[in-house]
Amino acid sequence: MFYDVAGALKRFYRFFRSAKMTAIIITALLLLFSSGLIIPQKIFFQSKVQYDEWKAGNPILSWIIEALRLNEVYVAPITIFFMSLFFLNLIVVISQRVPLILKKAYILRKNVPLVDIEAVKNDPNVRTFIIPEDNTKDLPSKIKSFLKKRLWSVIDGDSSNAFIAVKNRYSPIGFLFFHLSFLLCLIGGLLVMYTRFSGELVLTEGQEFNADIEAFRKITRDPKIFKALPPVGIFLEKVVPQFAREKATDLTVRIKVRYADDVRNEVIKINEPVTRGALSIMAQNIGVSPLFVLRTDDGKEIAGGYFSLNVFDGEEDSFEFENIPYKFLVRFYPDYVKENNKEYTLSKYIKNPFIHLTILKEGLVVYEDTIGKGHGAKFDSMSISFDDIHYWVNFVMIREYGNIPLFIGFGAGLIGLIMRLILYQKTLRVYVENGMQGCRVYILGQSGYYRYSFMEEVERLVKSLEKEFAGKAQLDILGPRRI
Amino acid sequence: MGDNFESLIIWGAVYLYAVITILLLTAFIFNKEKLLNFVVYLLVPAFILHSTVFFMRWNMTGYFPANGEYENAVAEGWFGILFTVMLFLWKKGLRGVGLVTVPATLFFLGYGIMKNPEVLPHGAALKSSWLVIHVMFAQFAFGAYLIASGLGLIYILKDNKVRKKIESTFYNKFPVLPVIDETMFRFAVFGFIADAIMIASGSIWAKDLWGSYWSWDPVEVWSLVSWLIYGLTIHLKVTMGWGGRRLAWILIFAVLGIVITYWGVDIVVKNTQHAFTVSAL
Repeated sequence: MFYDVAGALKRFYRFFRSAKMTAIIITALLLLFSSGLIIPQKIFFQSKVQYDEWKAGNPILSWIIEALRLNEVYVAPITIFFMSLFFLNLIVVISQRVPLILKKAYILRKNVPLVDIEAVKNDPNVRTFIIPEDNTKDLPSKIKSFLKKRLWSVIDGDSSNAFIAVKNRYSPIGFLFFHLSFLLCLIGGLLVMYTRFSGELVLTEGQEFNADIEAFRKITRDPKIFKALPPVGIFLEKVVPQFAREKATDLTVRIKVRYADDVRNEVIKINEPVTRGALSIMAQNIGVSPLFVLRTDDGKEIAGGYFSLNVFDGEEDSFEFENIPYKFLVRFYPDYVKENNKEYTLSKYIKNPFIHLTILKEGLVVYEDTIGKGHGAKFDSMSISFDDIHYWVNFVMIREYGNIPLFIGFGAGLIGLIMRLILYQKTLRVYVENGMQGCRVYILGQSGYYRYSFMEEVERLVKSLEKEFAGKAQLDILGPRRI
Repeated sequence: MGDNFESLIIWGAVYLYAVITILLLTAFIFNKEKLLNFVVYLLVPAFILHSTVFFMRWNMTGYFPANGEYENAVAEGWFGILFTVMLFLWKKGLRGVGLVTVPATLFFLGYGIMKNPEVLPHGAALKSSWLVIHVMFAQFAFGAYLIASGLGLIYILKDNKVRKKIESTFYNKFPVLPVIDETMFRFAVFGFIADAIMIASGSIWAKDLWGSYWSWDPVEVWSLVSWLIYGLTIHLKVTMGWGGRRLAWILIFAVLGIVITYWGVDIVVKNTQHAFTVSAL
């Protein structure tokens, strides 16, 4: 006994291209995506330490999740597998449906279905009426003109008395647009994934960046292809934030951008990045960089510099000087006020900047007080002064290709949906039967969706046709048959 | 003056919606057709009050109301009621759809009023032309899905009577089952297309704001999941002929996915980028 491999493959292929298979794949993807909202995902942990703490608390669960890589479910092998199946299914379905779609849109003329007169006449949904003899000259042509005026495309069959009228003739092509849009988004997505460089760059007002990869605070994505970075330079001139009730309501960042030999002044705002080709530069966060200078007791400068600190929202941050065994903790008051021994800030605007400075040596506090700009603090045999303050900006630089297929994909998907589901195809099969007392017109309507409301539309159309050609309503021997 | 006036109007709308909810429940439980007819006379003034708040906010802030829970609640409910009123005018027989949209709006408004009804400063992140497109289509989709869900409920209730061969003048006033079936599918389709525009426009906005089109943020994932649920529903209807009760049941429950996307994720998950009220910029 031989196993029919070819037959089995054929059966599998038939199942693979079926609507059921598509439904199964979409359901599987739905479950996987949803699981990412329940199972803790690595990307949502603030730090590795936090993730390790969670792991330690749930050793067995985390082992299972890690083994199946469900903690990175959106890139897990099982998700990639179902995504691949989805796109394979899409390609198979598209290739299989193309001839059918062209036929449905009446583009493949040789495949135009002939009007089966008997089937039309005997269909229970057919509408019929009589045109009196004196009005029957060139009746099929007159009906065709009538329909064409109402935006129906007329497709002739093999009989001069029978034809098809179609509204939204090309609607079936919407299927191709919609399904191809997924492939375009896939191409765009893959291009973005493989060519994307993204890095975070912190610059203080007055500071310059000269295409030096080492200057990035963090490289968040390294491209797999097109590794060379564009020759870009940035000079941060000025930062102007606006606040309302402690909330940042606007941000204007003035920069000078050098791209190859082209140097231009630009303004970056939130939601308004600066772009150069495939490169975009955006400002994502701001903070303050106070200038601290460390001196000996006799006033000799030991060290100094602007330190970009995360203290703008009232948090505490720290900094250290190289080879100096002290740690400096800072809290910041942009518009300092002290009332009843309570320190606070009137606003987030830097009007009267003060810092609360705590100096530690080997974990012990050696100094703690609040000092204003231009003042200093003495500790051990040294002093530190708070001489100046500027804003820093966390720029995100992204270079990626693939936007064009993505945008075309979005557009094609939308056009496809509208063509397929709103401008859906409606068909009329019309047959004009010559008789002794005049002509009997048979009209059979069919539509992709919303059949009930389409039948109402056919009723209205038939009434208009009767009014146009039959004058006042004629005695209808057969009906009209109700739908 | 503005705050008190707005508060007065919104509470007026809330009370009217509460009365309408009671009337609708009574009408459906006791099959009182007259009550159902009376609801129209209350819903129109309630909608006018609701619209006044919606447009007042828009005018006051200069932006589409989408800043914080209160504004989102006003906008979400507004679209749902707008579709309900439109349905009333289009097909009188479908006025029972308010059985879902009115209590849902009442619930959203109640939640919004409890959270933050005051005018909040508009965060820098929200200052984008994409906000109007993204949020408006999101609300449009939600309104359409809510109507589809309401029609699904009416379909089931009417079909139960038909199956049990119970003659009911109350349910006879609703359109025949195929019309309800078509109308609920139509709204699911409108919602699906609006949802697609919402996701695509959100993705383009995210590129300018956060630097990437898609970052598997919980809100993004839920909106994709909800969109796929409706996509699957439409696929099942179009290719496999699922309609009637099956479609109705799916549409009744599928709207929960949208409710979770718009409300649930922000409440449960703290690490979503979509919590615009948290971040300074």
